[in-house]
Amino acid sequence: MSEPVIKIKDLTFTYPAGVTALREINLEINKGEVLAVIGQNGSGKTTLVKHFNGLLKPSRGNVLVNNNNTKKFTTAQLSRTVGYVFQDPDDQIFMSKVYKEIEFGPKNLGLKGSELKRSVKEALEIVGLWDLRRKHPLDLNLNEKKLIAISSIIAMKPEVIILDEPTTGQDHHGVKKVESLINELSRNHTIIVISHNMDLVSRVASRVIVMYDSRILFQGTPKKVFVKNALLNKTYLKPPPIARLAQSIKGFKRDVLTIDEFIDELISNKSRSSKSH
Amino acid sequence: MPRALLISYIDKDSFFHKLNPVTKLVITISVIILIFITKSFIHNLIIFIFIIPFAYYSKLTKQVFMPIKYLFIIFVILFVIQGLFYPFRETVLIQLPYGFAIWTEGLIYASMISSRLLVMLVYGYLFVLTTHPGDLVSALRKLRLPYIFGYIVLATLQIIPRVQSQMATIIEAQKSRGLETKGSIVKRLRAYTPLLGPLFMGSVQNAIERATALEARAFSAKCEKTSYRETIIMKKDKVIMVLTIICLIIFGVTSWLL
Amino acid sequence: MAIVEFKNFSWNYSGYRSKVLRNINLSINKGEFFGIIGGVGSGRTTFCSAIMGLVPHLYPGNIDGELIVDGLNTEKSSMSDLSTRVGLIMQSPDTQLTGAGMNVEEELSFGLENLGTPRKEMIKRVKKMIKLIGLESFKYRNPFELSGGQQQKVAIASVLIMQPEILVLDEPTAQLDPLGTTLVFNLIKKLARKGITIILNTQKIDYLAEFADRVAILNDNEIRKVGKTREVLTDINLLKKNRIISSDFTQLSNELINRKLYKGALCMTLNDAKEMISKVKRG
Repeated sequence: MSEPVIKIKDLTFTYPAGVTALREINLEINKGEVLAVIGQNGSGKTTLVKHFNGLLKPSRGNVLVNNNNTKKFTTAQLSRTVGYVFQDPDDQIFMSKVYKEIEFGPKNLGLKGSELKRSVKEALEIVGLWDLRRKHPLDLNLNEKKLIAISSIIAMKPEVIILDEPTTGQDHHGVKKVESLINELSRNHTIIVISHNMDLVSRVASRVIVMYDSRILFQGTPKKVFVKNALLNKTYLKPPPIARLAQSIKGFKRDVLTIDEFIDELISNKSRSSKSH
Repeated sequence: MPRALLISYIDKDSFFHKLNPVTKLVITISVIILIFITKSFIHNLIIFIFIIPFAYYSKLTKQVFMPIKYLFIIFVILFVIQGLFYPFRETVLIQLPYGFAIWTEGLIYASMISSRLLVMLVYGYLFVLTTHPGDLVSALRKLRLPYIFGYIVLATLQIIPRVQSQMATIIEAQKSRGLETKGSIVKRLRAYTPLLGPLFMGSVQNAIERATALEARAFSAKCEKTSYRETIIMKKDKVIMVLTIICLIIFGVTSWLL
Repeated sequence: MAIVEFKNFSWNYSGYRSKVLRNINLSINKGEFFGIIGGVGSGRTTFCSAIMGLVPHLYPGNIDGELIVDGLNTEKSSMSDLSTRVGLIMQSPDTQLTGAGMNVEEELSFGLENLGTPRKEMIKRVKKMIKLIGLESFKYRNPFELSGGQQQKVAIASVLIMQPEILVLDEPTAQLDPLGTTLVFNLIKKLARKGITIILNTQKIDYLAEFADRVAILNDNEIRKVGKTREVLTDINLLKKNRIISSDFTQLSNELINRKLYKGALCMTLNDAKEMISKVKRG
């Protein structure tokens, strides 16, 4: 792996009201990673990622984005490098046309003329909303509104894209779309995704961070994380359905996450047990 | 901050807490009437000092004085402006250069206003600190004030912080899209649309949902309403109310005559 | 015995020509656990609101046909009459708190105050409800300061206290974390066992697979299918046609059948799948 995009050193954060939401976090996020952050609400997930684009500044410790200390920059300045898609699209949509909504971010960054047009067009095409560009955003359904929110960040061409619970309010197809979008974006971006959807996490993440009680409880690839049942239980998280099934079967490998892996394991398990008889 | 001042009921087991909200309202209003009858700020200061036993018996001695710091700037402004420009000035206290002067009448007037503000603030705040909003609503309801009035007062206080936190989220979301909210006035004004648009739409949506929740709880049922929180006017309430009004008359008359 | 009956029911909002619910014919039985599934914009939320009488009492528009809920015609009855028969729970935990209560007990009593329930009776019911829902340690907390899952439990309790026969839940866990989701589904399960009619709209078909008696698919504002839970949730083609993705267990069993590793019925739950695998391993 190459040089980390985001480096977090001894980060502790206490809200003005006195609640400490993060304790001594150390973390490096590498270029091209798809990093999933999981844990219950209140465990510190959102507080952590809000440090990546300077919405929050450390009470102690430092956060470096491309070796720049976030303490010296505003969120607007950091938004060139780190894009943050909020959970509820209704918290950001305010324009009367989809096209204009997407334009807002890159315009703030000073893009003009053909360069502006090109990034808006690309951003709308990646999420598949180009044909809806003249619609009023509020006439669209929840799946489409979520895509507007993601697209409006893509148009700013940040290196890192943070997605905060991208599947909330989405139907099954919305979830699938978000999944394929993450896979596509990960070719040119570093992705950080907060999610309660373990199915999604197991399929898209290259690394999973489990947050608990303001700390990183443990981390690793989905295969490593979703077999640690004792630790997962402590955080009230459950592995995805296929992993739970595999883990309940005697003699099965425990780190089976997908249907295809499951069938492969079933076949090799059968041949192993027929040999032993 | 408005939230901290408006709903800051602190649950304590004290004599004052247990009084009927109406009794406490009578005391508070009597004190406010009294300070507008008095002609000298010294009387007001005496009334102000009387808050100490009240606060002590409510087990809230420190808390009662907390909001005074918000008045400090107002006091300074009052004293400066009235001291220099009081319209009925006669006696120079200190002569300043360029023909300015600090006038005794101005300072007295400023002390009068300041002491009134001070008294209203601490007594009003003690009322808020010791009166459960639900009890107040229930007591007002018994006085036959419209039911909906009580709900609006209480719910508004509770919902203000929700709107504030929604606003905070919207600001964060738009900052993340490169919006600068600090800087020149033009920049700040420009930041308004991206913030107020989502706030307005969100508030409308929330209002619809909350209206639905209210209807689901029979809010518009046309029958005699009852109260979960009980507020009875007890003997001690009656005694205290009568005493308060007697005190009001005595202090009022003496202060007027002195 | 039918407790909710849609008779050729259609609805369009004022100012919109297109119907948000079209020719719904459906009856839901007393004590049944009934699931609703479908994509975004399919009309599921309107379906739920209609049972509570929000359509037409809160939203203006036109009804064709009729909807009978526990003997009342929703169009002709007031919402406060309906509120003692139907409890409605929506998605967002926060906006369902009325703001009328400074603590959980008071929030629960709000509906009863409005109905003019005598104070003694109110106290009794609040106590009972707090025990049933398992909120003892939260009863003096401000409901706005609870977690989403706890808030949703308070919302359920505060409509349940009005003793409705029917509980309608419109995506009650969509905004909750896994812990909150578990809390709320456990409560729903408990209520279903007590015989309350449950109508649950959710994307989480794994839960419906375990608990629902029947499931309806809504798509494009029409009912596309009503049937026994197993019949509906294991019909992969039907689900696909209606933009619903079947459970991982169903997909797994389907794949095993395609690869000729398994002969038998499609799976729906974790237990089904365990049984299937032991069959496959045996032989």
